[in-house]
Amino acid sequence: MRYTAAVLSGRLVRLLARIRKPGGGSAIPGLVVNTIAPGYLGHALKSFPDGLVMISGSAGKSTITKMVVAVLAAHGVEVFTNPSTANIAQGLTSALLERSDLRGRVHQRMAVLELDEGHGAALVERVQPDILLLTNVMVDQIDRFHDSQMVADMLHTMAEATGGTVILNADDAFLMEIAGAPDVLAAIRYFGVSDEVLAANPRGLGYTAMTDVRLPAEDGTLLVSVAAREAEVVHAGEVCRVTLPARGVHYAVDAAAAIETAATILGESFDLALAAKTIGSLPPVFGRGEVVEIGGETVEFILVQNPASYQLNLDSMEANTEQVLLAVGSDVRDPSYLWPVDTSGLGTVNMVTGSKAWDAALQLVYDGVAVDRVEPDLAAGLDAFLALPKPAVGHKTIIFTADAMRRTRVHLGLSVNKETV
Amino acid sequence: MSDGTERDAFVIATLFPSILNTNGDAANARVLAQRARWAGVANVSLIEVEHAKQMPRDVDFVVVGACSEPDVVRAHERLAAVQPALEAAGTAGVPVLAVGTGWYLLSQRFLTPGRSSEAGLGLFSGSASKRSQRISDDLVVDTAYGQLVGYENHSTDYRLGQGEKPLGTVAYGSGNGDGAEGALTGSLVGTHLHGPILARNPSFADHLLSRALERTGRTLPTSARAQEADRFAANARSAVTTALGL
Repeated sequence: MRYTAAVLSGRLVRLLARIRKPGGGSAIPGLVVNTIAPGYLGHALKSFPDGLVMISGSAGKSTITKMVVAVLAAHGVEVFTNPSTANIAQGLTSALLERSDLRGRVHQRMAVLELDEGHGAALVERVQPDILLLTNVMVDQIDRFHDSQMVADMLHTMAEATGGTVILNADDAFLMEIAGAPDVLAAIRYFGVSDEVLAANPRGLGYTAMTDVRLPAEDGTLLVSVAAREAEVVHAGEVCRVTLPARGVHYAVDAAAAIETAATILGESFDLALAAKTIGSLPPVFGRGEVVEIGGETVEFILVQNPASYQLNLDSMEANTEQVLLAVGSDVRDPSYLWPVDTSGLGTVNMVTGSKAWDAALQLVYDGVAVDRVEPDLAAGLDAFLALPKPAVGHKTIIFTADAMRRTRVHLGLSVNKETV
Repeated sequence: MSDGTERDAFVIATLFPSILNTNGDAANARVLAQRARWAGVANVSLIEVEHAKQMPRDVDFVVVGACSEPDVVRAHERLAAVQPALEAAGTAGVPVLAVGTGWYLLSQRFLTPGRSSEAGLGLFSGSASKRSQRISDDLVVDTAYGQLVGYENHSTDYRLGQGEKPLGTVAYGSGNGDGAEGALTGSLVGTHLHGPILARNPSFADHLLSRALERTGRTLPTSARAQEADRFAANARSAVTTALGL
C-alpha cells in the first residue's frame, strides 16, 4: 500500500488538469507523483512478472515499438506500452498511472517501452530491462546531445544494465562497439541490411558511422530487399515479405528490428508469417508517410526528425512529386540542422512555412531549389498551399518537423496525440 | 598548373568535411561557390579535401569546419598534414574561415576530449580554454561587416593572442567569453558562429569573396541572382533579432 496515496494524488491532479484543459496536461500527474513518490516509477516498472523490454536509439523507436506491441498482441500477448510522446520519466509515470490499480500495479504481465536516450540511461539506474533493443546513433537534436559519442555512451549504459538480451543494429558502428564490450553481460542478437540493400542507398542509412561488413543472414534478421512499400527479410533461415507502413528503407529496417525483437521475446512461440502479416496491416505512424484526405484531396505527410531522416525521406519521395510544402517549426532552434542535407532533388517547393521558414527557404535556394512562396505563419501557409489546384500527377506533399506537425494537425482538425498538445 | 586547375579557376577548398562538418559548417564552402557562380565568376571549383594530397596548390579560399569532441585528435592529425599549405595560403592572403573546434585546432592551444590543453598548429596566436558550462544558443555579433546573426554550441572560451583582433563584439550570446567574438589575423578568420553563417550573413560572405578575388586582380560582380537568397537571409536574421529583442 506504499504508493496508494501517491497514485490517488496523481489521479486527482490528472482530473484537475483535464477540467482546466480538456484533453491536455497529462504529463503533470507524472511530475507530481515523481516528486512526492520518487520510488513509484521504478516500483511500477519492476512489477511486470514476464519482464521489461526497452527500445531506445536515435530514430525508429516509436515505429518499432508499435510494430513489436502489435506482433505480440497477434500472438495473444497483451503488454503495457507508453505512447511515443511519453518516452521521458514524467510522461511514463503518467501513462502507468492511467493503467494502474491503487497499489500502483499494472495488470499486464509485460511492458514494452519506448525510451528517449537520455532518460533511458537515467532510468536503468532504478530498473533494469530484460530485453533491450537499440536502433541506431544519428546526429539528432544537435543542441541537446551535441555529439554522437554522447548518445552512444548513454545507450551503452542501458546495455550494461540489461540482464537478458541486447538486440543491436549490426550496421551501426557505434552500437557494434557495445557487442564487444566486457561490461555488457547480456546475450547479443542482431538485425541489419544486406550488401544489395546498402548498395541501393548510396547515401547510406543515416547512421553516424557504418560498420565495414554486413550481417551474415544466419546471425539475425536481415533485410534483403526493399521496393517502395514491400520488403523482404530473412529470419532464422526463413524468407518472408513484409508490407511497410510507409515507403522508405528506414521503415524496412524498423520492420527487421521489430521481427528480431518479437522473436527474442516470444521464443519458441514466435510465428514469422503472423509477424509479417501483422506489421503489414499496421496503420501508418503519425506523420510518417501518412496519407490523409483534406477537402476531397489526398495529401501525404512526411515527418523529419533530424538531418539524417530529412535526407532519407527526401530520397524516398516519388520523383514526380510536384506540389510540396515544407514547414519548419520552433523545434529547430539551430538552423544548421538543415544544411547537411542535399535538397536539390525537390526541384520546386510551393510553400515554405513555420517559424523557421526563412532559414529553411534560404537553404533551399542555395541548393538550387525554386521557392514559390515563404509564409512564416503556419496556418496561412497551409491554407494557401491547400488552396492550390490539384496537381496533375500524384498528390500534395507536406514535409514538417515535429512542432510544425502538431500545429498542422491542430489547424486541420486532425487527431492529435493527447500528450502532444 | 601542376594540380590541373586553370589559372583563371576560382578554387574553394573545404578541409576534411567527413569529420569537420558537425553543424553543417562545410556548407559555407557551398555557399561561397554558389554566390561566386551567381555573380558570374568563371570556373568556380569546390574541392572537398579528405586527404592531404588532395589539397590544391592554387587555392583562393579555405573553409575549416568544426568536428565533434571525440574527433578532435583525429582532426588535429589531418590538419597537421596540410599545415604547410595552410601557412602558404595565409602568407599569400588567401581567406581562411575556421569554425569552432576547427578554429581552436589552428590556434596555440586546443582542448582534447578529456579536456586537457594541447598545442595546436599555431596559425592563430590566441588559445582556446575551458569554459565552465556548455552554451547552445543564438549568437549575435556586431562587426565591421554588419551585425552577424548565427548560433553557438561549445564549452570553450578563446583568449586573443598577440596581433589578433576580434571579429566583433557580442550583442547577444557568449562568444569568446569576454564580450568579444572570434579572431582575425591577416586573412584568417576564426569564429564560434557555426553552421552556414555565410548564408545567413551575405555581407560577410561577399566581403570575404571580394578579398579572395582581389588577391588575383579580380572583382566580385554584383549579382541579381543572389537577391532572393539575401532577402530570405535578411528575414531569417530579423526573425532571430526580433525574438531576442535586439
